[in-house]
Amino acid sequence: MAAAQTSGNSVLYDGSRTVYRERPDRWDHPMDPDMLGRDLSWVVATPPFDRLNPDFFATVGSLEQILQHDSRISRYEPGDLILREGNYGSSAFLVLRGSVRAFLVSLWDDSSLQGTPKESWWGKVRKAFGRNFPGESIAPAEQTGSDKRSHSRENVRPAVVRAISPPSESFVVRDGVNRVFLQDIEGVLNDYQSESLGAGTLFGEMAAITRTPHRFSVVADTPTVVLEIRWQGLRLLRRDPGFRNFLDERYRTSGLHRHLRETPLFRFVDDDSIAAIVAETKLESFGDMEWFADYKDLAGRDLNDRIDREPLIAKENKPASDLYLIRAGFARVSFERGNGHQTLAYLGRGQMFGLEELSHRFQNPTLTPLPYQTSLRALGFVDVLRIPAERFLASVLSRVRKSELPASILKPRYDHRGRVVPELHHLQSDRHVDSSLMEFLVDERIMNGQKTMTIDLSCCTGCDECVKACAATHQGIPRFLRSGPQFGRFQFPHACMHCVDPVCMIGCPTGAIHRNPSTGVVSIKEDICIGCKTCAESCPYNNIEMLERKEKDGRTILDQANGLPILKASKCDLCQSLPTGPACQQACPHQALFRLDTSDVRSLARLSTERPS
Amino acid sequence: MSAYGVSSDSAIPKADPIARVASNPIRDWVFRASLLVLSVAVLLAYRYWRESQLGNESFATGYILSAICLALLSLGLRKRVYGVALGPVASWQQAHHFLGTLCLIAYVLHAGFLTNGWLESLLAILFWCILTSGFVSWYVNKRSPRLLQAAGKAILSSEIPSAKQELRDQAYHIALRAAGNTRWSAVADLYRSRLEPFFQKPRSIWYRISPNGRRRRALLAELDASARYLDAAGLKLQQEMRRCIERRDDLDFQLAIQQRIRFWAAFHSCLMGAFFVVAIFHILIAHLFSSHW
Repeated sequence: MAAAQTSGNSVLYDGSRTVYRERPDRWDHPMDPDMLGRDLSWVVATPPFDRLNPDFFATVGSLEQILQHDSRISRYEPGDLILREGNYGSSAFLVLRGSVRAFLVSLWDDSSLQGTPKESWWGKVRKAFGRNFPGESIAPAEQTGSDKRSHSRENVRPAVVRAISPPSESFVVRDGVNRVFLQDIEGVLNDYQSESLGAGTLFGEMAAITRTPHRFSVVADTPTVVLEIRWQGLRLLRRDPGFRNFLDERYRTSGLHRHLRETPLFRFVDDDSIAAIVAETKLESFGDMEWFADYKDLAGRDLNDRIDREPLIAKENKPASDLYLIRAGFARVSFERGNGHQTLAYLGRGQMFGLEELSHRFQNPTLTPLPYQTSLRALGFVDVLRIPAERFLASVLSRVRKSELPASILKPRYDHRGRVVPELHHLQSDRHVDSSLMEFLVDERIMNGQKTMTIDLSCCTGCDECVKACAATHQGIPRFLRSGPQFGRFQFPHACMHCVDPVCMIGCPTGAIHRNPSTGVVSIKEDICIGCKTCAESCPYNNIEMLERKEKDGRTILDQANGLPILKASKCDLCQSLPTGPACQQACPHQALFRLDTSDVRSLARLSTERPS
Repeated sequence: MSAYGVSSDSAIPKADPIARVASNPIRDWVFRASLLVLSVAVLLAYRYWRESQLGNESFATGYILSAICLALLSLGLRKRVYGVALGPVASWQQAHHFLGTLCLIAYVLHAGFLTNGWLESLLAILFWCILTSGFVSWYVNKRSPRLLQAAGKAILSSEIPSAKQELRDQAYHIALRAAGNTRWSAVADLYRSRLEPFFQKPRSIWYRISPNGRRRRALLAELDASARYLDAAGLKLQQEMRRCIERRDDLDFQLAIQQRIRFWAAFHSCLMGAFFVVAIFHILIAHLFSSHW
């Protein structure tokens, strides 16, 4: 250090294989470096910020400092897309001037959001003839152009005169910023029901807080000025109880309405009934938002002990008085077996608990209602909506097609008097999925993964081609470890799973660890990472490594204040920059390595059919 | 409709192609066999057509054989290229297996089963060695994952030495504890006489060539036989030692299997290099001394 030479303001070079730099700081990279002081003053004087108490932020900085670093002001022209449904949210938006339109229905079907699916040769032949052959059914999305417009059976519009095609998007550069705008915005507004949001309205905050995709699209209606606040800023602002209450109230007044409307089972419910359901629905949270700390502590303990510690949401053999709709997080469905609990399934966002029992009650009104057949427990942090059974039966089930309801429970585990002797079918979660695999995924919390690296050990020879490929594409350092929890012939190595609920993102002070809005891939912006280790310590699966930061020529970067190495977080980025996708997958000569969406039980069912033992 | 997310077959999403392993192996094998028969028919037709044209069929089949050999080499190159959209290595490997089989037919058409001349004989020996090593390598790659699975939890080969060291220390400490009490000393005696070399020394070359469970069974039988000299606490030590022996044998087995896979792959590649050097000489000589050129 004594022999170091000054090179520029902050870089010192002592001629060896190291270089000295200032340690990066949380406030180094503002979201908008060009934000003007007068704009900031205007924002601070705008509701709800004018009502915030600065004392709540005193430990981290001033309100101005937070807004300056974690927000930016954007200007949009009419038709410009501000939010796209299905994209992952990491920011909340506040309308400062003008107005925007939030669409209450989906503009694009799922396939167009996920890219065009590959058409089969039979499909091409069919298209060439321009007709459907006898015996072929039409996909629901193709049939029901009117479904998008009509919320309820009562409000169905006249028969479709012209086909509605999804809105076309175009790209334009405004003031040096790329914008997407919807062509023929007037036509789109006519075709799809939307809600106008004026100045002072906040939107997109729920997706940012719950780390979930946006459920609706928002476009500018008039020339609009919007303040975008990223999650890091939002988290700090939530320290003010007033702001927190403001967000909760926002969700109850508009978010819940929209949430229920988008739930498939509720699509035929009229607006008055939705309003009644909203009024009676309870919002409940179970578990700790920072559940990973407890999870790490409890790892290795007796399974029954761990299950007993999971917060109980609904208990088996108790009257089925509510329907539970999972809003965020995961919950375990289990039942008592002998001295312990057996897992039957896990429920994620949008899935319901209690539907079977209520449906049974609806279909057999003369029979005594059955109690809950299983228990529901929170895995980590779970947000649920609790809808009273009477309201659900009256407003929802009476309007749902019978074919969409679960079948009546013919052989209940519990009848209205109490426990019934378990039969074989009670022990099976589903005919497609191995119950013990499900239990394993839940216990290891692997059900959180959307792109879980999985190795089929019945094909893997341990040749390490996957590791070599990963190292070759990441400056010689592989971003995963080819070992990890193992269930039967499947191994789940220590590689980022790109979780449904990436808890690693919660604590990141700079937003360096972020989620690709459209693909959901979680990656790290190395230039913004300050090496604080928060993400690595939060990851319950130990899938994030801290590496020494290096110059391009390989020299290690040391902190010029204390001589310690400056670290950066490193994890699997799914090789987003490569045209081939994950290099490890491409390099496996035995097709042993693949990615599995463990958050979706259907993927597990697929696993047994596609990879028979 | 089910609240648990799994309802019916129709709800199961389409598979990611990379995740799909031959869902109908019989259909795949029939397809590959048909393709092979078709390719052989084309080769034969071409050879007889060249003959009927009074051309030199040896040159014709030789060029085809050379082309196939070059195509076979491309797998090695593909494995060294990352991030370029050339398709998954698994597909290249399948093509390699197909071409390897086709290569055998092309070779027989070109040179027959017996050859004359020292250079041609050397080339023939190398060819048959490559073919055999390729087949063995394919078989070992197919068989080994099952064997590895049977040998306990998967472990990285780089971690095996440290795991062995840990087991060695563990066994030593069990023996040390056993030596401290006459009611347990049978375990210590066995360790001194039979188990110490097992834990301290690497396995023999014969075991590496053909890993088996003979020694494990013999040691466990001896350990079981010592049970009558032990009290309850001694039996616990015996069980701990038993687990050490089993784990150590599993590690040796995994290492031997992984080394076998690597050996055959390396052997196959080395022979391939030698084959190409000799083949180039053969092609040069054939062109220099042929009246048909």
